[in-house]
Amino acid sequence: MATPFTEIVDRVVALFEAAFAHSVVLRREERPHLALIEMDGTYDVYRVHLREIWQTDGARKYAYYVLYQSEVVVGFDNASDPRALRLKYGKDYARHRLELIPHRHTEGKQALELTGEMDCAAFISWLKENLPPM
Amino acid sequence: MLNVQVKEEYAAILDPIQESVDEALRRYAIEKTRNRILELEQRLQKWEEQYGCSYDLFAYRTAIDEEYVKQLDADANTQQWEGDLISWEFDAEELREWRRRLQRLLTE
Repeated sequence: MATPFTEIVDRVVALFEAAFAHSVVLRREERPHLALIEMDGTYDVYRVHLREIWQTDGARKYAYYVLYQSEVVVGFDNASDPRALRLKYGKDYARHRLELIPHRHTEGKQALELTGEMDCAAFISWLKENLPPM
Repeated sequence: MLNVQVKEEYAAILDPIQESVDEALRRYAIEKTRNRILELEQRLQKWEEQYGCSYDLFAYRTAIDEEYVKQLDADANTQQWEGDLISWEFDAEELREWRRRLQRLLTE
């Protein structure tokens, strides 16, 4: 049964499948008020893992990871990570703990920097530009 | 309203048919809903076992406790905690919705 999210999720699946080898949809669930997609694939020597959730109020949460031998090499997400909140708001960051903060993790998740909002297409572009196949 | 066909052998036993069908469907819907709730509770239990706390506490801690998220990031098993939080949120919301449905069915 089609939901308000079907087209959006279809687009993400198509983009992911076109960009990565061995793509597989690990989980796809759609409800009238909520949708979830989880996908896995490979990119050169890396494994790529995507999870995204959409809500009818327009909220979208995402987590895109690039892994090498089970370790996260790069990760983009918009969780309310306290380190990202602190970077954006300083010491009063806890007051903003419900806000979604787009950011990137690098160096095996030891480093973090704020980014603009990412989506699957932007993630793929970033990857091709910054992590070219070996 | 949908029309369904009922075998005559059942119809004879189930008279008055409309009330019987309504009751049978209500019971079946309750059974299906309870099964779904059980399934979701098991799914949530796995998340709770993996992270050692409830969804609400996990969502709270990962938004305010820097040391905690550093620990999660340092362990390959929990490095994708942001993604797990997404899946966990979906499951928790699903469970709330199915519990609401069960409540409605039981009070109809």
